[in-house]
Amino acid sequence: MIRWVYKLPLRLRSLFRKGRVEEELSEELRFHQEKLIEEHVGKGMAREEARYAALRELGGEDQIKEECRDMRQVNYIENFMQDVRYGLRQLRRNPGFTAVAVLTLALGIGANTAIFSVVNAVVLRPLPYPQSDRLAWISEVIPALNAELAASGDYFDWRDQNKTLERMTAYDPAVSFNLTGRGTPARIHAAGVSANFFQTLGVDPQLGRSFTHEEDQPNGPNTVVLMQAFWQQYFGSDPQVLGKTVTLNSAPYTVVGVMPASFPFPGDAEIQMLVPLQLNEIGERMREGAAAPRLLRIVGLIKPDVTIARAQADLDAIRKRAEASQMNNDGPGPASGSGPGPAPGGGSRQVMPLNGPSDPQLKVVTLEEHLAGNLRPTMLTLLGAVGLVLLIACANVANLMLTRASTRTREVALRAVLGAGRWRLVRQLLSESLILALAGGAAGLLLAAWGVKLMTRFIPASVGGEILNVAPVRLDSAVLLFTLGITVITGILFGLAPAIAATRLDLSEKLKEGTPGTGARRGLLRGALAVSEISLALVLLIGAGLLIKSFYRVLSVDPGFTTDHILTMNLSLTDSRYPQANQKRAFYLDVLRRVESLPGVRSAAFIDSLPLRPYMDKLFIVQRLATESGAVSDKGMVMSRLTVSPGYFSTLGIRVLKGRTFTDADDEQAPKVAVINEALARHMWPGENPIGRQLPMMGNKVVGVVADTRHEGLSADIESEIYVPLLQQERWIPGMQLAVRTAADPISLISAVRTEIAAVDPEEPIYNVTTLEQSLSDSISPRRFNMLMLGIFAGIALALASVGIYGVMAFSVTQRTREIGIRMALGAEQRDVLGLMARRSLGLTLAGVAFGLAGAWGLTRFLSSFLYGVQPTDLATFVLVPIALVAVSLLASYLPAHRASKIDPMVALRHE
Amino acid sequence: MSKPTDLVQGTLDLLILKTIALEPMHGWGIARRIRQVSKEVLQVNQGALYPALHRLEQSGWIKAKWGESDNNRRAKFYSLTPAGRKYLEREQANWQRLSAAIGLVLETS
Repeated sequence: MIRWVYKLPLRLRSLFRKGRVEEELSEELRFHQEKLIEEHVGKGMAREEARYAALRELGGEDQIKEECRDMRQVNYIENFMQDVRYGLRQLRRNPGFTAVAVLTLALGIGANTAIFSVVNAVVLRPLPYPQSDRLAWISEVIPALNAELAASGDYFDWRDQNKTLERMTAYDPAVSFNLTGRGTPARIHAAGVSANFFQTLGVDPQLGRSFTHEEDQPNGPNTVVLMQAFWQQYFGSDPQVLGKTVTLNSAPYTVVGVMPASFPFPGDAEIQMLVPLQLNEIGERMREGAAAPRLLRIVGLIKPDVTIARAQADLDAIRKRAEASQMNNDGPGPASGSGPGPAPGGGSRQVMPLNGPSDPQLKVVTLEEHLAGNLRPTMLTLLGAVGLVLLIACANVANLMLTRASTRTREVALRAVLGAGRWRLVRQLLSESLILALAGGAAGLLLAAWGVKLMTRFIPASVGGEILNVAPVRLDSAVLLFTLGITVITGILFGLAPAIAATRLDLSEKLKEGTPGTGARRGLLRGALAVSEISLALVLLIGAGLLIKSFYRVLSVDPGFTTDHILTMNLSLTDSRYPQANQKRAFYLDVLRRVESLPGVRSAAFIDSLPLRPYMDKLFIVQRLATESGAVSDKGMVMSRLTVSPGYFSTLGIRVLKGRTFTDADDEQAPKVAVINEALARHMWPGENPIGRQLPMMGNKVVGVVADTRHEGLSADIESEIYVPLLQQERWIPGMQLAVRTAADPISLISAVRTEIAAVDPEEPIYNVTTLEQSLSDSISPRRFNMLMLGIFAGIALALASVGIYGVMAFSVTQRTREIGIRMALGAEQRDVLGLMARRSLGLTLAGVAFGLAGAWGLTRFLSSFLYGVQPTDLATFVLVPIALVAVSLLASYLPAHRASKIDPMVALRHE
Repeated sequence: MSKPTDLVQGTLDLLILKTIALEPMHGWGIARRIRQVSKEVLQVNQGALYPALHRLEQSGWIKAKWGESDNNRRAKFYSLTPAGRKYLEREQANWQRLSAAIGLVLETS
């Protein structure tokens, strides 16, 4: 609107050059008046007479001016400024009230801002890739493996046949190398990426180029694109790095590019370099033989205007077609195989019974939703929790405002008598609450800045690692806007009811009134506020109670192995330096011998996947069962294979239930043996003795049964496991994990163990050095984080609600001083007064508890995915937490009640 | 002097806009011109004129500028903005349609 060109300067002028504008108005009117006088004189009037006539005609000058002022339309701003100045004065006059209110609001707003800033990063803000809104994560959910991956064969079908994607790329973020040639040998995390990875994500190397199609072919040249951080650390940001080489698994790789610092690898901060994926397209398409398909992660760029659902339908149809054609030439066969190495966060090439009993489901979601994973529900739940905290804070401050308003009734009444309209009065009180809210918001922002830093440090990597790497938490403009929004809403929320209540006046009553505060209505409002505080706090407390109980339940789960005094670390032998299986075996045995001879070491053992790490090797075994009728049926079973050295069971303290474990005699010359866990024995040979039986398809003879372990975490289900001896392992032995049982603190032995391994082979990187205790602690950290966060918020809620009920009771005592005085004069004992006050407090609390229980009953079901071994409507929690709350509430009202009982009737009766 | 005709607000706006459409004019001039042109029928009360001028100015239809009047006295001269000119055309057309319609009704019944 072009008119603003004229309007805006006028408004500003009216506001800031008020004197000048007024002067001009006077001058304009004076000019008019003189002209009028001149006209009258011209008609023959005497000068003086003409002047009076003109004044009469013109009417009240002040009235005209006032009307003109109204036309300027800036009155409301001036009034607002007045209100603000007045409000500030009022707040300064009551520093105690102001401090408590601001602090309460700061807690509420700060908590909301902190949680929102994570939600903003994780859910709302787009990922730092161009067209990130069109990036989709495409995977097959494999329930048996508890994994979301995709088979390479499907990838090629999708890539070639889809109609809904602009681009599609595959990558494998679990490629690891031993980096040698300079300094200490190190384990490097790399990602194998298709050549079109870069275009799909819309990122280019900052230096050099991305991979060519030729480099992405099987047995293509060894090339590598470095991530920024690795380039800085290893090459000191050398701009001449292109064409230089890094030694990975003893082979030279040529650097062809460097990624910009602004490029985070999707979901994995550990990735230090990218190598071509080099999928064998022809081989993978065949999908046959014992070789398992390569498991990949797939990201697609959806065409504009195509929905996720349509893309999913498109890809699903392709997959179904492929499956149908494959059924014809594919019977149930042994699916078994293995692939390179220990994979951080999920193996890369596991044995994959894709067409097994567990039918994989296609899943297409936005890349952001996939990366946010577990953090998304956690943060949304916490956002709900802090919302409740903010409501409690609002109720609390509203209560404070009411108390204060009751001491100001006379002032309000006076202003009303002097002509202030009710709306004007409400506005005045509202601007006070807005000032309070803004102060609280500013303080809350500081609190949030500190809280976010603290909180993100405590978000466990297993929950937030993927997304927070890509989308770091920041207090950005969206967060500031959110804070401002909730601040203003908060100010209105806690200010409006008290303002309306305070201005609902019977004027004559108020002006002559003696006792402060009246009206059952206002008492009702206060009571309602206290009740809602208690009920909201109860919802949070019950939620926290459920999480605490779950955590306790998880802690009391028997993992089936000992966790104390066990040092663990990873080793990975490269094929180029240890081409033969027996060379690898010799290396491992040598390490074991040396480590076990160290003073302070009780025993040591190797396993390919220690407890609390993902399984490396999954099997799908078909067992042929003869039913009673004589017919034969096939029973398929998914299980995990663990390759262990003989001392593993004793080192980890895993109980042997039947038979024996492995000895040094179980080597490649001896008959193949296996130890199975209880779960497998139960599934495969229910009610029978498994010792001496042969495992179907593998042929190993079962020599022992060991107790179940919670391999993938305390709250994970127990899975069927087969243990096979390391010494009988004839195929490629993947990276192994060393467990060392120590007499002293395991940390103190780290350097000694390192030295022994280096003595066997100094080129061998040792990585993931930790203790089993630490791994256990890490594995429950998501649960601990949820519990802590909800616990903190529930604690704040409880504190606020206690302050709330204290305030209501204290006010009630002041208000009823005279009444109490009369009662005491008439013979009431201290005890009776205490009872009177306790009844009131108990009444409010119980009402709050009733509402809170109803609310919690409805809301805790949203927590069910965070619970373990506890129902969302756990009876004990629903009984004990309210009892505790009632106790706290009675405690909070004890002080005011005690004061009431000490009232001197003589003083009270004179009390005004 | 009695008020011969009470001017409805919208009508006064229209008269003012029309009056200054030809040349910039001060408040006194506007009042005098309306009186003369209407053959003394329309008397613009000062109490209505200046608030109206303020309103029109604040709405961006007219703009004001201080200038010299006859015998060298400072006066505030009002003139139309481009938006005001369009507004005037629109309102004038509306008015004419309305008065024609009223005329029709009055004549036939």
